[in-house]
Amino acid sequence: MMALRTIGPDVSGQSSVRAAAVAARRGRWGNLLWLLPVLALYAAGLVLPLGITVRRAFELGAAGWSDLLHNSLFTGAALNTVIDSTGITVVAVLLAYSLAAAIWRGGAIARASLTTLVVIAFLTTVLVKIVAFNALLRDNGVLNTLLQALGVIDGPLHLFPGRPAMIVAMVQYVVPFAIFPILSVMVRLDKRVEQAAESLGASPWHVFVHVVLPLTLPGVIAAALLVFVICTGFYVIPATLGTPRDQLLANVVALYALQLVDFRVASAVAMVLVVVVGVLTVLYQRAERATR
Amino acid sequence: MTVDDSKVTSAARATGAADGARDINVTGLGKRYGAAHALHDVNFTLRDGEFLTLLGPSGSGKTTTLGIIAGFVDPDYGDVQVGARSIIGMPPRRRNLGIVFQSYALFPHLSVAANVEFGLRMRKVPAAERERRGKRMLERVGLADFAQRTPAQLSGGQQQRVALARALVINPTALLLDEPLGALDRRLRQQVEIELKGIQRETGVSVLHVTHDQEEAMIMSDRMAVMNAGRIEQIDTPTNVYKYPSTRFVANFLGEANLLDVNVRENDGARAIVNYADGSSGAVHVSSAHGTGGSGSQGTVCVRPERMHFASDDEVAENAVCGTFVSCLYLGASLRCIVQALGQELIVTCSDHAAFTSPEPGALVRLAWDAADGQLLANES
Amino acid sequence: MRKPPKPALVARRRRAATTPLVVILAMPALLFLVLPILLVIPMSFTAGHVVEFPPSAWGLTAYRELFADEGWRETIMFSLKVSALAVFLSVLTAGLAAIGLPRLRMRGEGLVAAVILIPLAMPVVTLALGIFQFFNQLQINGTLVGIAIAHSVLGVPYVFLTVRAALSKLDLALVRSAMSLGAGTWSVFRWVYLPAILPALLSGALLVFVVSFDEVVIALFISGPGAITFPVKLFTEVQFNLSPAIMAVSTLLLAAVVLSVVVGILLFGVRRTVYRIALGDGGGAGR
Repeated sequence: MMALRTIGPDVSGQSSVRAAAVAARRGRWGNLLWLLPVLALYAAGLVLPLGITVRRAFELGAAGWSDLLHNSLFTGAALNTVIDSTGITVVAVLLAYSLAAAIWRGGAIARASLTTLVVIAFLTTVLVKIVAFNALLRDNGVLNTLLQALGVIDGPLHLFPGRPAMIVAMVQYVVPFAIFPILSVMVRLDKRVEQAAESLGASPWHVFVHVVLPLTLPGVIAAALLVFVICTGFYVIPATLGTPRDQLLANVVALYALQLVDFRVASAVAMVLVVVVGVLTVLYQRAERATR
Repeated sequence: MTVDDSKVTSAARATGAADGARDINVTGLGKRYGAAHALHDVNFTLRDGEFLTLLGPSGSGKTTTLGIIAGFVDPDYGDVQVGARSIIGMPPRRRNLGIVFQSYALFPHLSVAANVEFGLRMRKVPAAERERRGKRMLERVGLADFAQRTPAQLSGGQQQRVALARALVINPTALLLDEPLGALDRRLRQQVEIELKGIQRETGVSVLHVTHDQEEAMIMSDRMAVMNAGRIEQIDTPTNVYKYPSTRFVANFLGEANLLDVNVRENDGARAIVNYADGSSGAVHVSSAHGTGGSGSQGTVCVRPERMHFASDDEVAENAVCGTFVSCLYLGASLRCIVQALGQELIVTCSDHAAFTSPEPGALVRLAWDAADGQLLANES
Repeated sequence: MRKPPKPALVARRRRAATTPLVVILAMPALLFLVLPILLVIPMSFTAGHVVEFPPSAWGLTAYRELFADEGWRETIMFSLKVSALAVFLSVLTAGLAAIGLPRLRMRGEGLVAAVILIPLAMPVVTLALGIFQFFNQLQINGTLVGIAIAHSVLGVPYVFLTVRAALSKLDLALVRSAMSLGAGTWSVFRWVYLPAILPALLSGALLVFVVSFDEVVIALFISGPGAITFPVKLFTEVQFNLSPAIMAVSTLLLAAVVLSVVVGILLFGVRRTVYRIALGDGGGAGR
């Protein structure tokens, strides 16, 4: 009691406990104030905008939606999105896996320098990448000039604008994203599990197939889902490196909103995109949790 | 000596008709990390059927030695042979050695059965035989009911036994144990020590065991090699290593030791006459001439606390020194006394029997020990 | 007696065998990741007015044009202002939310956190469309404040995540002991929370800046006369023509990234700068 009295003002033990409880309850709801600014910001920049989009999408009505399903702009873009995203995911994950393995297996210097380069590629803005691939792949670009000078081809390969340039740039963009989840699984692998397999007679190939690959698979799945989600949202790269035929769903949203000024269709397509990405994101989070 | 094959014990195999084809000979092994010598001229033979322990503090090179034999570490010089065939440069997968890691290193994505059968699968053993042998091995370690579980569903002790079964099922030339009991709690550990020793006796497999725990080494080993700073200081049976330590390090690392500075007067390689710091002379044992000084040199004598006793003034003793009694601690089964003598504090333990009465602090006492209980140590190199 | 050691054997170097493998594994991805980006550097140092590789004459024409161009300078200044305001809004709102959320001690904490992270998963074009329509009603399309608000929404999750990670390492006993010593809400914030989360706030702020300064889609949707951000200008220019000036801009952007990574490594070491980005918070590479 003496000790208590020296801390608090002279209130009896019991009432001070009750006062604390009251203060705690008041403090608890008072703490809601901490969240108010972010709620206000999200209301203005996320919730109300999405609300309008949803309402517009519904204004389209059943007829409008069925028109949309027969709209070749939409169906073409949807098909492009699925095909391109799938292909890019496969290629990017393969490249990312090999690069992650190199970082994982390399010595200290190789590890540091490779990771640094990947991070630089990761942080470089997509616009610089577009400029680079434009300059590299156009008809009179670096690659065609080089191949013609070497006599490999007679005329220029038409890579830009078009799907080749677009796909190459999108793969390049997503590879760093795919490396991170794979690498974080790899570095957590116990070296001794591999040594155990080796000591039991497994060749390097068998160690990879029976031990390393199954144990890094969660990282691969997480990487693939992440890449697929990013691919479905691509706007800038198709807009700058693809032809009108190569556009993806996000570009159709922009086309309807900014050029055709039909916000109902734009909103409907945007909703399709949100639903697809939402489902994939939930799957990704499950997969990502499995890597821990 | 004719022995029924099924009754061959590890001891019989170690000493008996072994032709040495399954012995592992380690000669002149060395390993450097930068400027530091992790290993320096390590030599020993793991005899067929023997349980040999590498005992030493962390950083003494025991794990490096194990890694070199397993093939995970390349030595800078020296050789490792199975029989007469060098295995240096051979990848681990061709060495046919079973390894149990401290962390067990079970395959987390495979069932217990698949873990145990892994080595057989790699050896392309037909499925039916693989399952039969895997099952038999799981039964032997008492985990037949757990075959379909994953390692994460097992306790630490069970995981350890799966790791053991996985290493044994391939009929390894030898079993390498890298502190396999380190992760177990103390009670479980003692039980596993006995189990492990039992399985080793049954199967007759040679075991090279690495640990820093002296008790574990004493209980399980046929022989033990005490390592320090990348060298083997002594290699012998646990009894001999304890009774006749050859260096200061070994004397201190295993149990307690009184280390006395002496002048060597005579040394014939088996027995030495020495002068203690107070000028009194005594006779002590020399287990090996290797490294101990000849007459006129400085040396160290090790006497275990339980080998010293309080002697009356008229008792004739091979070694006797006088000192001042300091204190005594009662430890139940024994008493632990401290005596100031020869310019240092000596520890004397004696069993608690009625005849013994503790002297008063400050009293003059006389300590004595037999020649067989004093051990002239090798000089530090 | 010990046997004399046998003649020294030269050990097979197992590590050496893995080096070619590392190179083989790393080369294709690396050539593909880095080399194309590096192309912009030589192409920017041209004396001419067309983009060519290698330039027929080396020079600094592109940079001179770039710095002389009023349009580039205006958009860069505008972008800097937008990003600064976005950083301020994100750091303030997300920082407060990260501190306040665990103090609520309510059941839906995980749900609220998930909601705060939604912008991370939202396709930007959807967000852009919604913001365009809503800001149209508010009549703040084509204004600095409008773009900054939109960008700050994108930035909130980053600040929230970094601050939350820092707070999870903060010992709650510290807060309690400060309160028992008579500290009020403000004092607790000033002396306990702020020092603990300051590094997280700073790295979160940096992330928001990068996100905002690079963002094209939203800024394109709600841009207007006098409200064109630097990435939007770059985006529109790239769509129409590839000038040496664009190469120069790209080179400068690339240099900024390389410079900041190098400075980060020099200041904090490879582990904290690079591995943390590569392996998520905590930088477990050396573990």
